[in-house]
Amino acid sequence: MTKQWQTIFKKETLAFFEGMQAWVILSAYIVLSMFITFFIGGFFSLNNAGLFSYFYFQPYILAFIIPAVTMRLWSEERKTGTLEFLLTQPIPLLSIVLGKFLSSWFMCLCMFLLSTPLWLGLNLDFEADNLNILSGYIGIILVAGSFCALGCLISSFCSSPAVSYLLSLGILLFFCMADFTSAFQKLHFSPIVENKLSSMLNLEYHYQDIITGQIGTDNIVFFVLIIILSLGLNTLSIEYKRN
Amino acid sequence: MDKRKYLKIISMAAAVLMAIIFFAGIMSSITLSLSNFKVDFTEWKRHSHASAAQNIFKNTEKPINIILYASNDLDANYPELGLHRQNLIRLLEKIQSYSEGKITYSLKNPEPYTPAEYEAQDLGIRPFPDLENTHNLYFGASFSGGEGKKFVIPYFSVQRQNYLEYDISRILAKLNGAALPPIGIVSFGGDISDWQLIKKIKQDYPLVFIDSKMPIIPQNINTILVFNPQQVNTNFIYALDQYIMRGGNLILLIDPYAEAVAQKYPYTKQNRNLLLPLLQKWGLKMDENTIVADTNLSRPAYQTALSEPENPTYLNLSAQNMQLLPEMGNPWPRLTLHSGGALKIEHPQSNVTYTPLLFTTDQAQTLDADIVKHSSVQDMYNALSEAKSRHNLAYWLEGRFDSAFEQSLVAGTPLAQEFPPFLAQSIKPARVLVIADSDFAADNTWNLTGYQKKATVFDQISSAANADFILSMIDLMSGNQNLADLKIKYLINDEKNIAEQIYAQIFARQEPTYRDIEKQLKDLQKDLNAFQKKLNQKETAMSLLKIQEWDSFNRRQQQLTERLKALNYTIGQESTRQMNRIILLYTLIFPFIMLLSVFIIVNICKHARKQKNLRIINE
Repeated sequence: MTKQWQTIFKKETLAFFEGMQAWVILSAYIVLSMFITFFIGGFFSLNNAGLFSYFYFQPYILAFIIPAVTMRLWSEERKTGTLEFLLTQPIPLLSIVLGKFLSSWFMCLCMFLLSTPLWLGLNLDFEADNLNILSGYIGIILVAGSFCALGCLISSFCSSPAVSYLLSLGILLFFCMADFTSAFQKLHFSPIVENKLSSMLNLEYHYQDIITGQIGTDNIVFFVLIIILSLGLNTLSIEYKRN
Repeated sequence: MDKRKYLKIISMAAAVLMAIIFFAGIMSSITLSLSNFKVDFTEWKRHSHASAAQNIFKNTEKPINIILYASNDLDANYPELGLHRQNLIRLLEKIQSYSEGKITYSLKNPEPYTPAEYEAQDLGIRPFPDLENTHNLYFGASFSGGEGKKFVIPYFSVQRQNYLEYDISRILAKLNGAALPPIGIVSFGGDISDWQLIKKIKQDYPLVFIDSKMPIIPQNINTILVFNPQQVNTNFIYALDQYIMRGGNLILLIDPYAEAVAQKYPYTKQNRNLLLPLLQKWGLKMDENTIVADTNLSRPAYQTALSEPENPTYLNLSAQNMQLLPEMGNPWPRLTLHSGGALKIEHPQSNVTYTPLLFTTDQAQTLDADIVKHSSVQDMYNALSEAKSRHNLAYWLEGRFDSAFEQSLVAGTPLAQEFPPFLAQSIKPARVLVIADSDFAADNTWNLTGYQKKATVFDQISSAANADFILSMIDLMSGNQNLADLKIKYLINDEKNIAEQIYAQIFARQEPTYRDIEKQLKDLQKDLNAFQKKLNQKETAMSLLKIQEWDSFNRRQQQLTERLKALNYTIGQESTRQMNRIILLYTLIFPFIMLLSVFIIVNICKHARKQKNLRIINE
C-alpha cells in the first residue's frame, strides 16, 4: 500500500508543478500572507517574539488558498473522465485518497516554507521565541491538514473545480468563524459545560492555544480527528461512486 | 420536482447532518477528556506554573469557590481580552485539577439587566463599555472560602497577564488560611498610605501605622517597615532597638537622597538620618553623602524615552545583581533603584550573619549626593569618582543583636515599671532587611500606572518588581514561605515591539553624535545663562560687541537645536526605511528567490527526465 499511495502522491505533486498552478498558488499565498502580517497583523507594532502577526490570520488565508489546491483533485478527474480509469486500477481506494490528500498537504508545506526567511530574519535582528514559533508552525500545518482533508472531501462531491472551490471556501470560512456558544446557550447547559463544548468545537480556540505555545492533546486530537473523519468520508463517497 | 430526486436530496441532507453530529460528538467527547494535557511550547516557559503556586493549589484544605464573571461577547469586542479569558479558564481548570476538586470554579455571563449582572455589580466587579457603548461588559472574579472570607479581582487587565498566576495564588493562599500577622508602618516622608505598595501590603496583611514618637513597638506586630527615617526621636530609636532585641523583623529603607520626598516637599531640607548610629551598632554603615552610580546598569529617567540620557544613579538590577537566600526562591525579573546609597559592613556583630542581597557590577562609581540633588545628568557623568568597585545596595541581617543602648531610657523614673524590661541582647533571633534607597518603594520607581486614587492592586502595571520584592520579604518574615516563593516570570514592559527594536538599533548607531550635540547644547545654555547673569548684574556694559556675542550664542543654539531635530528626523526616517526594507525582503525578494530556485530545479529535473526518455526511445 505504501508504494501505491506514493505513486499517487508523486503523480499529483508533479501535476501541481508541471503547470502554472503551483507557482501561482505559492506566489499568491506568500504575498497575501506577508501583506496581512505587515499591514493588518501589526508586525511592527506588536511584540512578535512568537511571530503572532503571521500566525494569527493563517486560518482565514488558508481558507482562501487551500480550496485552490484541492478543487481539482477529484472534480477534475470526474470532469475529464479519468476517475473511472483511476478507480479501475488495482490500487486500494484508501491509497488514492491518501496520496491525493498528502500531495495537497505537501503543497501547503511548500507554502509555509516560503515564510521561513521571516523566522530566520527575526532571529538575526530581533528577539525571537523559537519554541513558540515552532509551535505556531505546528498549528498551521495541522490547520492546513484539516483544511486539505475537508477540501478533498468537498472536491469528491463536485464535478466542476469552480463549484468545488466556492463550496470549499464557504465551508472552510464557516469552519474558521463558527462559534456555537449561542447554540449551546439555547440548550440551557451550565455555563462551564456551555463554554467547554463551544470551545472544544471551535477551531479558533484550538488554533490560538497552539500559536500561543500551549499545545495540548485536545488541540492535536481535534485537528487529527477532522483529518481522519474527512478522509474516511472521502473514501466512502468515492466507494459509493465506484459502486 | 421529481419525487425520487426530492427524496435523494432529503436523504443527502440527513446524511450530512448525521455526519456533522457524528463529527461534533466524537470530537467533543474525545477532546473534552484530554483537555488537561498541555505542553508549554515557549522558551520563556510562560504557561508553566511555578512550584510555589502548584504547592498552594495542591495543599488546599478548605473548599474554595471561584466565580468568574466574563461576558460572552468579550472576544467580539476586545479579542485580546478573549484570549486572556481563554488563558484564565485554562488556569482555573488546572487549579481545579491540582486541588483534586477542593477548589471549584464556575462561570457566569453577566448579561445586561439579569441577576448575574446585579450580582457582579454588588461584588464590585468593574463594568466597562462594549465597543458600541450599548451595554456593559464584565471580566472579573470572586473567590470565596469558608468562614465567609471573600476576595474579588474587579477586572483582569491584559497588561497584568504576567501576574495572573501570582494574584490568584496569593488569594487562594489567604483563603486557605495563610498566617496574616499585623505589619507596622512608620514613615518619615509624609503620608504614604496611598502608595501602591502600601495598598499591596494592605490587600494581604492588616496594617498598623505606628507613631514615630512612640517609645515602644507592640510585640504583636510581626514586621515593621520604616521608610526614610529623618529627624528620628530617641524614643523611637530605643523602641526599634528593643523590638529587635525581642526577635522582631524590620525592613528599613534608608536613603542618601529621597527623591520621592524631595518631589513632594521641594522646599523642605532633608535632615540627617539619626537611625544610622543604630545601624552602625548592628555592624552596617552607609555614607549619607555618597550616592552609587553604575553606567552598566543605568537607565533613562523615563524608561520608554530612548533619546533621554541614561541617569547613572537610576539602576536596573537583574538576576546577576541579586544573591537571594535559598528560602527567597528564584531572582526577580528586575528591581529598580533611584539614587541609592552604598552599604558596608563595619565592626560586624559576632552573632549576626550579613548577606548582601542586591549589589552593583564591579564597575560602579560614586557621586557626591549634592551633585545628584542639584545637577544635570551630564554633570553627574563629569563628577563620577575615579575608583570603580562593587557596592552593596541591600543587606539581610539575621541573628542575635547587641543593643545600642546600655540601659533603659526610662531607668530610674516612675515609668520604668510600665515598660517591658530592658534587653541588652536579642532573646530571639531577629531579622533585618536594609535597602539603601527609600525610593525603592515609591510609586514612580516601579509602577507604570503611577498614582491613581481609585486604582486597586490589580490595576498596577509594574516596570520593576520592587513592591513584589518587599511583599515577598514580609511573607518570609511572617512565616508564609509558600507566598514568599511566588514570583512573576517576566515584566510586560520588557517586551519591545519590532518598531521599537528597530528604532533602538538605529538610535544606538547615532547615539554618540546625538549625545555630543546634546552636550554642546547644554554647555551653550550654561554659557548663555552666565552671560545673561553678567548682563543682569551689569558686570558688563551692553555694547555692539556684546550684542554680536549674544546673537552668535543664539544662532549657535538654534543651529544645534536644528541639528538635533534633523538627527531625530533622520533616525525616524531610517527606521521607516528599515521597516520598508523588511517588508520588501520578506514579501517579495526572499520568497521569489526561493520560488525561482525551485522552478529552476523542477525544470532541470524535467529536462533531464525528457532527455532520459528520449535516450531510451532512441536506444
